[in-house]
Amino acid sequence: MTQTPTLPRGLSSAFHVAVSELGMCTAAWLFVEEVAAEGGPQLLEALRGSLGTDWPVLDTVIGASLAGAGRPELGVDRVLAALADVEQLVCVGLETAWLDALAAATDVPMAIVRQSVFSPDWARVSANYGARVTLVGLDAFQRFAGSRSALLTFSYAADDHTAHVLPAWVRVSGVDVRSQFRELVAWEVLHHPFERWPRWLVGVPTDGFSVVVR
Amino acid sequence: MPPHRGPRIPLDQDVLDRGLARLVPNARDRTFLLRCVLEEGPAHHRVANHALLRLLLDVVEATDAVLAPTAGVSVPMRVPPHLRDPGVEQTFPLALDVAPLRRLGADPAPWVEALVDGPPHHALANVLMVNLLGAVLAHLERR
Repeated sequence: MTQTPTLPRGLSSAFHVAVSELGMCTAAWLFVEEVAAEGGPQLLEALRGSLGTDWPVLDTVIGASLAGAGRPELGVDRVLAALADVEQLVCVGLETAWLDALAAATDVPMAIVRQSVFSPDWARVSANYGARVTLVGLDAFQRFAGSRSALLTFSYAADDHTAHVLPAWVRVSGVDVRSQFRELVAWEVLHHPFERWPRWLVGVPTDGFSVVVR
Repeated sequence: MPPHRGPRIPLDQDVLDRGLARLVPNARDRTFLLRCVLEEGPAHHRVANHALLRLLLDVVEATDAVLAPTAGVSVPMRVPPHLRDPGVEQTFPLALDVAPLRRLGADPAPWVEALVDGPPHHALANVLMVNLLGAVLAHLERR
């Protein structure tokens, strides 16, 4: 008799760590694929019941997966087009599946603003990128400002009016900063609408970005 | 201090984008500058900047003045002084044409200082307008 797979203990803590160092969407797809491989739709539903309320991005990814969707296309080429002529990129927020692909696709110097509500171990985040990416604090990221510089963050289920973004974006993109960077880019990572209130995120107008890459 | 509110008038940014194309040939630079002038400041500044630039472009067109990128004084971004990085271009992609300011006095420096100072929705609008006026004045002087 085969044993019905169950969710391991400590999954919530593990997911929080993964979110903090990988990003909500990257972590969600990783966990969804692993759980689906272990226990199929039934175990995915259990994961949704266990963590979906606390983690709406995970909830949305589970819903998408159960509906037959796979990982979304990253859209690196579209981001590179939006960043044409840019000589310095400053990223706000972590989504490592997307950041890793971008870092490999361009030689443009990249920095990540060391600001997150998830309190990641920044030394571990930095170690993932080595010298390719500079970590910079909220007090100093403007040293990368310039007319050939871009600020980039990730959006979750952006529509024509509202993009849900990490709170760090709101801290970074004040009225003083907005005119110090030529491009203000949102890179859509979720591609599916939320079915729950998107806690952890904040809705900002999409027309506040120079481009939303979908 | 005036209230930082203004009428909600639909601003046709494309008209300004086309009109300024010869002054700022790089389309992305132009989009950046127009964002700063028309989208980042308080509403009454956006509307006022739009109106004045539109009218000045009408004058340029009516006089057949020639617009071209100007050499001159760079417009600095107001990055905190301790964070300025000489390795990064921390000026806006627009230079102030000093020539028309010489009509105001032998030393244009005080005018320059005032015109490029302040938030970008002031400074960049100032520079665009001076450059447009400079093109018209230079054209009229040549006639």
